[in-house]
Parts: sequence; C-alpha cells; structure tokens
Amino acid sequence: MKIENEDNAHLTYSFSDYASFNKIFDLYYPRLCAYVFQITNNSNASEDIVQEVFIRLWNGRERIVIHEHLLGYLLKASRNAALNYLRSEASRKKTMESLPVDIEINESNLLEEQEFIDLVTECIEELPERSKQVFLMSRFEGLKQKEIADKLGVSIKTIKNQIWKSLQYLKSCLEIKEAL
Amino acid sequence: MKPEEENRNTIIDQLTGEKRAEVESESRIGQNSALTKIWEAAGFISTMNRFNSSEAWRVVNQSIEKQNTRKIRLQKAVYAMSGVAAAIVLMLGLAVFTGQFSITENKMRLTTAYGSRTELTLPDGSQVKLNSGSNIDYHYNRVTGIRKVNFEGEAFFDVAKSKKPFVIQTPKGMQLKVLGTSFNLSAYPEDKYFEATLIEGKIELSNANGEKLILKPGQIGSYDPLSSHLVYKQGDPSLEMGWLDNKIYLDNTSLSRLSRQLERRFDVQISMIPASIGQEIHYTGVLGEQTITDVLEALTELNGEIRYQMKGKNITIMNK
Repeated sequence: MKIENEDNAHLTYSFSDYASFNKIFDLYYPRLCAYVFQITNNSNASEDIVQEVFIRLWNGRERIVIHEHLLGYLLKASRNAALNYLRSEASRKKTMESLPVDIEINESNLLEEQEFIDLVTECIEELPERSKQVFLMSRFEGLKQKEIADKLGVSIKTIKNQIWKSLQYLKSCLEIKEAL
Repeated sequence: MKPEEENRNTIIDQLTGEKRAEVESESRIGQNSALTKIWEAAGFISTMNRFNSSEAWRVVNQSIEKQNTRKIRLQKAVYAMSGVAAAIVLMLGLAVFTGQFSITENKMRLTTAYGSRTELTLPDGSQVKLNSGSNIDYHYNRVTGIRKVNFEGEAFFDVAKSKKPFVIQTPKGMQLKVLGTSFNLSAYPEDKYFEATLIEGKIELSNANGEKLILKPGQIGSYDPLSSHLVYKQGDPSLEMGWLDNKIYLDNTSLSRLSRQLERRFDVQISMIPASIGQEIHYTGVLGEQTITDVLEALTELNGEIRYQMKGKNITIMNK
C-alpha cells in the first residue's frame, strides 16, 4: 500500500509490515466503530463492519493507493460499508421507505470533526476533579441529574452547576486549543 | 430564579435529555450551538469507549491468518526453508507438527497453536524454539542483510552472528535489537509484562519513546506494555527458561498468571470461581508434571483450599 501525503507526519506508516497495521488498528478502531454506530445504531454490526474494512485494507495493501489522510480514508470506507449494510438490511426487511440513505456527509468535515473530538478528549481530561466526575457520570454513564445527586449526596442544583461549569471550562479550553 | 439561571438550567436539561426542547427554548440552545457541539462530541467519545480494539484485533488477526495459510501450500514452504528446519519438520511429521507455515519472498510466518511447540532455523541461520501460542513473522532483506521479526508469545532465540542487526518488534511497542547472541523472550499480548532474559552476547531493549535498556548476560529486562516502562528485574535467568525442559518455575506466581501459562501449554481453558482466587492464590516452586491432570492435582495438593473440575478442554478451579 502506498500512502501519498506529504503533510502528515504520522502517515509514514507503511502497511507492508503487520505491526504497523496492528498499530493503526489499535489507534482508529474505537473511533471508526463509534462513527459507524452513529449510522447503524447497532454495536455488533458496527464492529463487524469496521473489522471487515481493516481486513479488506490489509488484503488490498499492494493495490490500494491512498491520496489523503489515512483516517479520512478509513472513515469514508467505513461509512460506505455502513450504508451498504443499511441497504442490505432494509431490503432484507423490505422496508425501503424507512431507509436513511440520504445521510448527509460533508467530506471535508469528516476529519475536522475527528480533530475536534480529539481536542474535547484532551479538555475533558483537564477538567477539575469534581466537575469531571459529574460530567462523566452524566455524559459517559448516562445517569440522570437526580441519580447523580443521590449518588454524590448533593442537590440537583449543584449537579446543574457542575455540568454548567464543565461546559464552560470545556468551551474555553477548546477556544485556547483551537487557537493554537 | 434569575432569568440567566433559568436559561442555563433549560440548556442543561435539554442537553442531558431531561426536558424536551420547546419552540421557545430551542432558540436558547440555538445560541449555544458551541455547547451542543461539545456535548455531542463528548457523546461520541463515550461511544468510542465501548469498543475494545484488542479483542477485535484477535478476530481480525485470526481471519487474516486463515486466509494466508490457505493460500500457501505447506510443501512449498517446507521446500523453501533451510535444510535443518525442513529436516526437523519432516522428522516430526505433520501429525505432531501443528504449526503452520507461510512464506512469500523473504518473508516467513510461523504460528504455534496452544498445546504445540516447534523449533526452526531461520534463513539467516538463527535458531528459534517457539513456545505454544506464539507467532513469528520474519522479514529478511537479502540486499541490506537486515533481519526483522515481528513477534508475540515466547521463544528462545539463538541468533546467528552478523554485523547487521537482528530486530524484534513485540506487540505494544517493545523493541529488541541484537547482534548475535542467545536469549529468551516472553511477550504474550495478554500478559501484564514482557520479559527478555539474556544468556550470551548483548541486547538492547527499547520502547516507542526511544528509551533503552541494555542487557548483559544473566540479566532480565522487563517491559510494562501499559506504561511502556523498561526496568531490570531481579531473578534467576535459568528459571525464565524452564519451558525449554518442560518445567514451570513459580516464584510467588499468581494462580491467574499460572493459568494463562497452562492454557497455552496444554491448550485448555481455565476459569476460576470466584474469579478473585486468581489473584489471591500464589505458588512458589517447580512444576515438573507433564500432563494437565497431574499439574492440577499438584496445585490442589499444594493449596488445600481449592479443587478443580475438568470437562474436555474446560477446567474450572474453585473454592472447596
């Protein structure tokens, strides 16, 4: 596989060796699964789809030439596979009318979105301890405000304040990072 | 409530999904699309955390492996290997030899299943004894003379002397560079740490950050795949190579670490009830038993608190 892109340092990966392929897999697998999950809303199918994308990539490594950022390529390949999956599912269930094939995807934004997600990840890490705890319970564990309040023995008002504080912190953290 | 606070609360309730957006409040959140964007990104990250790449890698790796071995006829592979290894393979015969070969150009792959072992001579003359559940990918560039190996599992290497380096890459970023020497390397991806034990010569361990650890004969280098830390480990080098003469040396070894070794050596599956006993029970000594039943008998005798059940390849160790 040839990767033709001079802008990006980490594209020096060459797929002729299995260890680099493994590295790329580890690096991008959860992200691609989450992306495909947005389309399919099915965890198992998402994993199958992304695994298949990687297997095809390895099998085609001598033929495939990538002219862009590797992640961008993988996102598009995963998306196409996900749409194919939806199509075959729909025809299997004969529910063509409910088929969301018109998912709008702006190609150039795919990577930007992922870069933004990386920044948010960094900023969440940097949240003050208490706000972080509440934010993670709400967003990552999916707990209701009341459930968090009960667990931590504080009022719902405090929970609201903590979430608000987190969001404001993340917002300014992102502004700084995006300016860099 | 101050209007500002009310506004704030509405936004939070909408984001956390506790209240549906009404027409009026939709505009409030509209002004805060930056917050919505952050909230959605955090949701994406939370979804990402659900997917585990190391489990998935096992599936992908297996699938690729199957394709590879199907493609290549064994006979051709044996023919292409050097005389010594071919002789070993032929002597053992296919029934005993459960490793699978594939060779393309200057690349060679060898896999040993759980319960099987093998030894081979690489095209540059280096000798490798491969323990169960190991995988070796050998690349030899005939022009530059550089020997490169991707490796996981455990093996004893006797590397042919050459001025060109022999480089081994393990999973999770450990690298080992040698110039002609013999050493034992244990790097099973599922283990908590990897170990290299040097017998003769000189080797250099490094991690992805470029940190290095140089081993002299008799020294053991240990690598923590999680932190990428490389450190010298106290211990008896000959114990690290117990597997070569079918012995398992235990030095305050936890039952769960020992179970993994047994699973690989005997191709069995071991579970523990409760799972916590894996970390609670430790053993010290030498296990010379040659069958899984004998080993289990010895383990239950050494620790009177546990018993075991065996159904086919499935073994359960439990509290009495």
